[in-house]
Amino acid sequence: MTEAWDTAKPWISKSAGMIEGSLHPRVLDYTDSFIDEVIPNESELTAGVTIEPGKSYGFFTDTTLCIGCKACEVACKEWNQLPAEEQGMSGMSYDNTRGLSSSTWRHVTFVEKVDREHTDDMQPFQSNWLMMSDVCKHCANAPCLEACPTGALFRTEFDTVVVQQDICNGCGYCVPACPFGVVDLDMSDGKAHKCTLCYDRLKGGLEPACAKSCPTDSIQFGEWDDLYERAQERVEDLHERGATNAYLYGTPGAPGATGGLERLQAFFLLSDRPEVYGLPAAPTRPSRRVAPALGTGLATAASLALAAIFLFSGKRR
Amino acid sequence: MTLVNDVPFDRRERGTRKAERQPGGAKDTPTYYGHPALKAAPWGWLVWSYIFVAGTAGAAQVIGTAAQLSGREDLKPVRDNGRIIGMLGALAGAPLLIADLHTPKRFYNMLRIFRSTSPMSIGTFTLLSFSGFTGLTVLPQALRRLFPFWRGKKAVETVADVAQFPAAVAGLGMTSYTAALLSATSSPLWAAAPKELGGRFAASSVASGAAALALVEELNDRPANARLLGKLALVATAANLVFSRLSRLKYRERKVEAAIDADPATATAYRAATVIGVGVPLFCLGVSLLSGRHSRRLSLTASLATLAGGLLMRKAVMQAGENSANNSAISLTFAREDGGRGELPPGARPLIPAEDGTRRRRLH
Amino acid sequence: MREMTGIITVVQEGRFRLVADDGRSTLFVLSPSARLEPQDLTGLQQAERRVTVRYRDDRGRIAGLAHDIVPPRSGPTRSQAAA
Repeated sequence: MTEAWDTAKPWISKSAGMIEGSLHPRVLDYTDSFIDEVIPNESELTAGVTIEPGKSYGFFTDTTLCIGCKACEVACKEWNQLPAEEQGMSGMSYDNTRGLSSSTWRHVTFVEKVDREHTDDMQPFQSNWLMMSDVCKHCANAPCLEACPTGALFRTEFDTVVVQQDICNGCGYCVPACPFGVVDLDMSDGKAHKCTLCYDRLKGGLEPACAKSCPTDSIQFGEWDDLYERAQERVEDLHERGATNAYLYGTPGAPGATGGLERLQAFFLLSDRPEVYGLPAAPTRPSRRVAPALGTGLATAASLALAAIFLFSGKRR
Repeated sequence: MTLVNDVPFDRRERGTRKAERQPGGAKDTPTYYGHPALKAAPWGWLVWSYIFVAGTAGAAQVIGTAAQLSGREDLKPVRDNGRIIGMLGALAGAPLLIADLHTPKRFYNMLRIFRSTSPMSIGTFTLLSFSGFTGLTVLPQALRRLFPFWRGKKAVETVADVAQFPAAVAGLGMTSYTAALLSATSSPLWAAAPKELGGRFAASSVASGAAALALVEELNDRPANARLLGKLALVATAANLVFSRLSRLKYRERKVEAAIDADPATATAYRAATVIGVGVPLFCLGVSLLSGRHSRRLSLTASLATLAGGLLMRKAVMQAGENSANNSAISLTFAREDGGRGELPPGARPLIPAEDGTRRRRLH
Repeated sequence: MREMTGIITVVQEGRFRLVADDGRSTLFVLSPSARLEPQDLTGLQQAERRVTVRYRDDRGRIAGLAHDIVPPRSGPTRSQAAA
């Protein structure tokens, strides 16, 4: 049972950042099936990236590679000890998870694009089936963080956004603040929850659970700049191959990073309109509306106060 | 623990059924099976009641300050009652907010930081300072009741008169910050018209504050004061009407109107709030003013209607905002660069249905 | 209110997994009304002490809602002691 496996494990080389077909030299140090220690800086082996505080990390989710296996959903639930929801059948294709929630931090959407006018000449394989693994976007100007009155939501040393469970008092303001409908209040434990980009794993030098479990590398974890470069190359490559509808969502200047959000730490490569995946095309930063609302309100109230002073200053008795 | 099979059927099919009928939004905005793309605020009656209470209390203090500034002896009761209504609002407000927290025992974490981007944080400190200064303003009245023979009242009265001004400034904040609280979210209906919502909440609050004070004056047989406050309520209600109309236009423009109109309960509450909170007071106060004779019955009706309408308006706005967040046709149209008016975001361009009726371009 | 006795093996935020004396593991979510706070759970896990969790079913999810965690109410069963 414990006999060492063949050292040539082609599947390990799937990891991003490594030349195809070759192995990370450190892989040869861990040839046993059962390792009795935590591999130091394991992310170097699995994602080709060293995790260091102070750098900016994120996810690049390439939806053209997603096969809808939901390994990310399961890995996330498993690592984060998130309870399963009893929701039954949704009728939404193979998606019974429905959406992100306080106990679901990765969610795979299944879009069956049945083109009724072209059923005859449609190819027999599922080429019109879109899948996307949705997640918290860890926005650069995170609206949830800007809305949080307790400071429970904070930006970590890895440039991600996390809810501190020992501070959150469940006011729920981050929930409507999120332009992507990600943050959710758990009515059972009375606190807000969302993806932490595996904050605890990053601190231990591990790649986030969803990215590590993704068998097609649809979810890639890495330094944001590297991921962006990789994503741009991928779009170019797809365009050259004729898939001209591929575009990035959440990178500077692209849909999803609009209205003052600047950029999303977790961005996506999509091949249909964002709304098809349930994503807003041009979300905005809610804190921009504080000044107009408060300003007009104060001006109105102050004007009416002046009216009161004027009314009261009439005849003296 | 129940198993999946034990889940009742109506709960299982929730996702599917709703998908078909989602009113509102632009017709060419697709959604993901009609599943909500946003999450609605997890707030209930505690929050909309608070918004009303905070606004009324804040405005009462502002009006009380105007009475103090006039220096008129006959308006002294208005000043004193403004202080008392302010204090009652402050005393009711904090428990309402704490009860709405889902981990109430940690309410004090609100005081850990101040965040100018968060109206919830701005509001915490507005309420705190309003409560503190209003507490000082009611001190003379409280001491007069508790210690009738105590002689150091003069100093306390000076303190109260000075504290009246910061209390009024905080009171102005109390009338309006709640509009920023709703507007600075991603719920389409609240986000669609921040300025108009600010004006509405402020105007409605001043109307409610004036109505509450007029009610007290009328009940204490001071019709002259009640009439004066009625005039103020009339002006504020007119402003409220203007902002309500403006926000309606904005809602239509941004295609979020269905969040109000498509849900019968919300539509009814919204209409009732306008009729009761704006129509009835405008009629009563208008008739009273034009006839030149003060009618106690009309004055009382106008006050009560203004208060009830103000409360109902907050409930209707809260409900409509939640509807808009739960409706992905509305929220995804609202979050389009063009607001659903035609032009599509860059990534979407290759997929617009063509003029000749053929459908989307295929991948290969 | 039901009770389950065992050892806390995994803790994440306010959620923890309890391996009961019969070997079955159950996921719990800490209720906001519990005397313990999420940050106290790590200590219990590291101490590997037996505890009794008083809980209700969490509506709509496969987990227990822990209202209290107290010192164990009962010793290990005979078969476990023998093992």
